[in-house]
Amino acid sequence: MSLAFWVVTAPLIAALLILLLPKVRFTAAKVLALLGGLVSLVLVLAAWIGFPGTPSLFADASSVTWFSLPAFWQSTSLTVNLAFGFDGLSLPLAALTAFVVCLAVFGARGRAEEAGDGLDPRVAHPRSYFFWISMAAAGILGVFSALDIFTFFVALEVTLFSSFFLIQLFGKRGSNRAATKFLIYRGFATVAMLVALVGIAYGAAGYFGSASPTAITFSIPQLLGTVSHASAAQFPAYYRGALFLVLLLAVFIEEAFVPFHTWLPTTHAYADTPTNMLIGGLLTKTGAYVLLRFGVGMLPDQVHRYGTLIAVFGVINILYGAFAAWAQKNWRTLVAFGSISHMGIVLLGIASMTAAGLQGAMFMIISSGLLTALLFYLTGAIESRTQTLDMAQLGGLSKRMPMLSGFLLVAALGSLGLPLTSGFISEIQAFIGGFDRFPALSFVGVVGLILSAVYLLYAIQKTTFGPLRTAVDGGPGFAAGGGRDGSLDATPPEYLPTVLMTLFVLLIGIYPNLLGHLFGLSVQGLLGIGG
Amino acid sequence: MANLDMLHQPYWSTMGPMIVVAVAGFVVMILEFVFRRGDRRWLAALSALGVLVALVVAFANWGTGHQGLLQNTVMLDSFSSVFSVLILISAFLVLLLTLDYRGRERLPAEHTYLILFGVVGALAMATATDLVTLYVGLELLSVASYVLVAVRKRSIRSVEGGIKYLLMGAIGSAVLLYGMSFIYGLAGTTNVLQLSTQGAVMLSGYPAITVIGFLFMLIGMGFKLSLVPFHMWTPDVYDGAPTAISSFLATLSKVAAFGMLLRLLVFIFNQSTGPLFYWAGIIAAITMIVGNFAALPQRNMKRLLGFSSVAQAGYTLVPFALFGSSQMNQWPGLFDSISFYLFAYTFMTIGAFAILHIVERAKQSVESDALVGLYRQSPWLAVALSVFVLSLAGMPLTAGFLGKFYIFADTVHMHALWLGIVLFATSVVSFYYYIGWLRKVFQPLPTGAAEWAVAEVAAAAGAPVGPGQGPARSEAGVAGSAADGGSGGSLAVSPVMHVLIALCVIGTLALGIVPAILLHPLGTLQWFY
Repeated sequence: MSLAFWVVTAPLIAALLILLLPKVRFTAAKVLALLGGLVSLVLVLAAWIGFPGTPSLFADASSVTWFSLPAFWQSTSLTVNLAFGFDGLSLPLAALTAFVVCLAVFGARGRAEEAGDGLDPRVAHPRSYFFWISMAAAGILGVFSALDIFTFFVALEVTLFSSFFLIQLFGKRGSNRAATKFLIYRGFATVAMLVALVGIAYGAAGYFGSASPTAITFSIPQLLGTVSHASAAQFPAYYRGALFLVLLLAVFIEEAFVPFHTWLPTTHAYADTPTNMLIGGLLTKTGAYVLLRFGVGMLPDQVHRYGTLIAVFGVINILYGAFAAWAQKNWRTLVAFGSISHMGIVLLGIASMTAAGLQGAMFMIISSGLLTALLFYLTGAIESRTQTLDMAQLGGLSKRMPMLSGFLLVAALGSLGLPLTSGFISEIQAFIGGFDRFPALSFVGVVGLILSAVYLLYAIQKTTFGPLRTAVDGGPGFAAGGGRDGSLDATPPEYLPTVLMTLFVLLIGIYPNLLGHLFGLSVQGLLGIGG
Repeated sequence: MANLDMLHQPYWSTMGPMIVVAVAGFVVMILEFVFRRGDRRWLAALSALGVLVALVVAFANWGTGHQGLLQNTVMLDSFSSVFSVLILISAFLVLLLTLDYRGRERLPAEHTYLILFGVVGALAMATATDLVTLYVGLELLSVASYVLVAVRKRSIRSVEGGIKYLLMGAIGSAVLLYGMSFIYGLAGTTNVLQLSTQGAVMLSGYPAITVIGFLFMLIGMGFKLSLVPFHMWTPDVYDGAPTAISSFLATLSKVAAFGMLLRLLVFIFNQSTGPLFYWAGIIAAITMIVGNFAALPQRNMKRLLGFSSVAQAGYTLVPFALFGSSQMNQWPGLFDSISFYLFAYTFMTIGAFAILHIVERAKQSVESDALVGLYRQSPWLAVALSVFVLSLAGMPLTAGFLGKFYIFADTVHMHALWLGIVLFATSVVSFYYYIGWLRKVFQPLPTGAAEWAVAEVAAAAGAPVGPGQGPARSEAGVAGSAADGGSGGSLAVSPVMHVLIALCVIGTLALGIVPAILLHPLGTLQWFY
């Protein structure tokens, strides 16, 4: 068993322990979940340090035969493996996942006292809460490190229903509809992805072509090697195009791109803070990962062919997300639309199929993941004090919570792409790629950057500065959540996630080569294939 | 001694399961007459034991080659072994459910042995290789089922369901026989093995009559399998029948009907018969679509499971529809995927019915609102129901997902991707109603739950709970609900039900996580000879 295998299974083991050990209460469950995340994080870092500097090679890969569908075709049976491994693309994503999971678990807390709507479900059922968080973590790690299509699906669906339960059981009152919406949308995405990926696997084996078929495999490294070289006789362009469009549809739903975006703001409005960090920071990045891994990696010719389409959708997302975020009256939905806008930049970068564009897209995935998680964490911390994130009721936060609002400002600046933050380096690379291939479209897209400054600073100005409002001063939260010394600012345990995430946002901005080294390798691999 | 000669014949290995179940049926019938008073649940236990013995015999036959008997009217081969095992497993689980049922509710004594005779009929459908024998098996199962559905004589819905089932079943049988008569008229034999050499000849010689014969047989079985548009009876009958019998109809009866369908049509029409099976593909697609969409507005859980079983029959029909367009060397894969899905389906459906039964008894309602607060009352039942529902919806790590994935792989293999897409797209539709249950299960009790909980405990106390447990439990329940004002009375679950649900959970998860335990035995089987 390789490192990658244990990275995925560590949270899974934690989840099982939480479920099976007797007398697990809130703290114990939290510690177990945190341990699972920490073990993953340490192992990912170990994999990072030992990562060989060669492009398009999967390190720490391991593969166990799971089962095989019997030999009924060409006397070769289809073997399904439980396979995990890292390359330059998935390693930083896995590291981000383990990191955010640790912080989300660390930051998870329930209201001890009973509120109007009964006991906090997180306190009442700590086992299932941390069980599902750990399952979601294992699922996301599995998605990023899976090296077999079937393994990938299992992991993807694990994320689907564990997040569903997190929203359903531990979300705000009325989260039922949000949870169902989440499930239906992403369920459809999964189906489309299943069709596309299994289709690609069969296509690579020459099943749609006129040539005689070869042995079929679900192994992602093997498919990466064969699909893009497959001749027209083996894998006709017609099928490649159709499968790519199905894949693109799946990515669009998965990633909450306009017009399939409506599940994301609803979900974020109803889920609790750690769940929001997991969904906003990590789960919505799986779609972009899929597009890079399977779209760019396996069907680069189709990405070229439909490049303009993807870029147009990218720009629509940048602008729509920004305008929608501007119109929001609630911090959570604002962050949700902001992340939609960010992911539009990812699309533009990928569509350009240039080294800078792809690398910018990869940076943007990480940067948006960090910043979204940070913003959700901070707004969650503020909400626990004020009981609301409605901007009309907030105001003068900086007087009561100077540190929290300071970090909020930093996160917002990172999000709008200020130089020396991770947002800047991502946006500039993606747009360099974009201008290279779609100058006019990218020019329109840049407007989105200005808009992002507008909506973020507008929101900051409205909530952190200005006169004190009742929700901030003397509101229900003032009595309930106020610190012992009368201060409402961040408590020491809250500093840790905030400072760590902010640190990485700045670190990536100041020294991008931290990630650029790895991303560069996989971009070389991808473009080497794509020509 | 002429009788000794019989011992040399391989009756025991071939018909062993059937003989054991039939003997158990007669013994239980006689004992029912002898012991007319007192707690007679041990008779149901005895029946379950009989089925278990038959199961052991059937397992012993697994993979022992093929052997014809009684002028080849009965056949011991891989096909009959797999379906016999499947039928006996579902019979055992259904009997466990009945065991609990009989303790709670007064059901007529005929109940138990009718199930056993139905099982004999089902086994005959799986093992027979003659049109007449197959039909006799089908009728044995059907007649037993008609009575079983209407067994609650005082319940108007039960009787209504019984009559509906009788009428629709009779039409189905008639259509099936009519179809068989065409084939017999063309080929001049009722033996499936002899017919199997003539399928292609018939189709090329008399295409119109052969198509009519094929379609009538498919439609006749379609009534039993509740394929759209012959599914109208399903929700009414499932709703009217006692829950244990609903699960009997949903699993055992359908498995046997699938066995017969395959034996009839695939064994007869085995070469270059693509146009025939094309119709089955269309029926499968319509069934998946209608079954899933019709289930969306259902609030009655038994009716919903009825529609869900319609949809599931559609999924299982997909590989059947591929027989025509595939080569014979690809057929084992199709057989494997059908049997795997039926195994998965059996475990998850009986499990869901078992929990439904518990909830129905506790709340006196089968509306989906009765599930509200289940998680608070019994986390174990809530988790078990989640496993079954997620499996029915096709989530990974459960048997249902793997079954669907296998069927999907079939469709890609056989260039029928559109069926695979319909399969997965409609199963996303099914998320909605299955997840609706989960939503209810994990919902906290509504405000003002205190009175509700007390009322519910009173209802539970009114119903006959296990001997000596009733009063004590309901008192505890009232005290509990008075104390914390919301957790409600606990559901009374007998150990048998715990065993049953645990078996179903283990089956569903094991087939989902380590499918090799079933796939590899299936893969080594020799389906044809």
